[in-house]
Amino acid sequence: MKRSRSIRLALLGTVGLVGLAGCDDTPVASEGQFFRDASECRKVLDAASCESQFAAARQEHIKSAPRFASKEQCEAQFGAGNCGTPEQVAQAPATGAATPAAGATPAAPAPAPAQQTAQSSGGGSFFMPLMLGYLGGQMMSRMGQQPQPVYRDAQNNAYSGGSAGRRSIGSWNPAGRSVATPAGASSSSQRSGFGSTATRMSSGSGS
Amino acid sequence: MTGLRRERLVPRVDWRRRAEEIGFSFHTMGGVPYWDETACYALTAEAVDGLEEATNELEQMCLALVDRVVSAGDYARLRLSDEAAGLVEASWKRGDRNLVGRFDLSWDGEGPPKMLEYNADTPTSLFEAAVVQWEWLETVKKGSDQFNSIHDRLIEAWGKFGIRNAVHFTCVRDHAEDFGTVEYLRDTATQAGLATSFLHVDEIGWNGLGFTDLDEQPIRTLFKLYPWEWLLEEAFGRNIGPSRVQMIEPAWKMVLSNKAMLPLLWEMAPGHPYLLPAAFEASGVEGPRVRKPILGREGANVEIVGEQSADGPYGEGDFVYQALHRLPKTDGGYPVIGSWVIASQSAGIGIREDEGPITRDTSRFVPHYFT
Repeated sequence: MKRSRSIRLALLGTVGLVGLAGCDDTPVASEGQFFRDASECRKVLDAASCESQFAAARQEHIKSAPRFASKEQCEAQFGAGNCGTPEQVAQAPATGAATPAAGATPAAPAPAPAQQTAQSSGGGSFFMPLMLGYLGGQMMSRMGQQPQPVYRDAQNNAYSGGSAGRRSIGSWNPAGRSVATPAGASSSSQRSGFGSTATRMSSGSGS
Repeated sequence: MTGLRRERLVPRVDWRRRAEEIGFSFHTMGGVPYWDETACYALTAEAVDGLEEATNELEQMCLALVDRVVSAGDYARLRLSDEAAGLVEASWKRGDRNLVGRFDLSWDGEGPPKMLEYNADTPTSLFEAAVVQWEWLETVKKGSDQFNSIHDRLIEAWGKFGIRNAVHFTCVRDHAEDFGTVEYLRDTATQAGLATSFLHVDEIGWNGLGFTDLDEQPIRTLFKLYPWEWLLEEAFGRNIGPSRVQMIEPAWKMVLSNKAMLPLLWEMAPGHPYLLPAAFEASGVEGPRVRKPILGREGANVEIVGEQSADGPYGEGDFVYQALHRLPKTDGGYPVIGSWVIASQSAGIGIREDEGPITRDTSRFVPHYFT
């Protein structure tokens, strides 16, 4: 093979040049940072970005969360207390509590339009898992990627769903508050430990 | 008939617009076109076969050299620190995969091409070679062929890494060419199904256990367009080993991105038709010679001994000497053939011309085709 068959660019410039290949895969999301809700996000990101990421994850959740005919079927996969009707799911705050009771008092400012979206796609009643948090943060926002809802399954695994597909992100902390991070790691990193040579040379580093 | 011929051309009136449409943001640098389609190079099919064969053979020799250096523990002549040597050894023994490299070849269309050097760690002009000249071929020389399967091979190579976590990409700030190169590579990784993101090299965090991105998420695989020897000298350098981050290019590329590899290769394969005589001392090379800093970039501080030299920031370090093999002189200057290897396979070429016989970062990229 001496030459490329066709060239398609997913991120740069226009999509595809000449003689497009048939495939149409969308870019995969970066890992993102886990937040239970918008207020937790505000510790690291500005309020407006947090609200909009939370709202986007919620919308994604309502649109693409798996649906079940019965609560039992849903709970078999997602664990007891982690499922509800679209109305309950839309109202329940994303507290990440291990047993969020159906119909809990709405605490987080959940966006209203989500409810309509959920009902428009079905006729009768159905059940879906609760969104227990979301993946967002600065990297995803810079990359122009969609925040993704986060779920836990009956085996306590945490994973992100939404349009990017299912992606395992670790195990759910038993306290139900966060996705586990390795012991010994500091929660705030030091930075600027790389890059000084390029600054001194005042140059790029390619060759 | 020569295997390599320069043709003058009238550039497309809308070449700038076309370049920008495909995301080629650095087509003009310092007010001067870097992308130059007032000419192109025409190669014969035999010439392309010859370049491919030479490139594959050179790459195999380079891999053999790394093995030889690691087996003998011969790091002193490469001026590698103990720490660097440890990383080289560990990455070579683990069999860490590599992605990309570019041989710079001097060839006038006759006889065997000669390797001037190997940009094994941080090669640029990749996007131009893979995509921009391909777009040119499809509109200007439709029906002709081009020695260029770089794009397909990159996507294929990413797939073979077997990476299951996100891949972070990094380079310096405010440098359009480096950023364009990294974003292109990120594009190919994305198309291979990998989760990717970008951060500047100074934004990389260290949390005591591992490197982190701006969200405090672990960096498990890092593609860095930033020289290994710079990383290791800097504040976080000593954390690379303990962090167990997967680096692309891998640490063993430090053996090859260092021009001390030129005399080592000549020592391993003296008289090889694709190599030029090279030595650590001036007296080790007969006749006209070139002095090169072992860790220089973009032609900086290269000197054609007794004739002319290029300035730059690398004048203080160690040097090697290589027999002078002049680049061919055409009516557009001096062309050097950048021959790409992707995952150690010959994948295509990109030709740059410079006004002078030492190729600098002021060179122009000129497209090619073959029939």
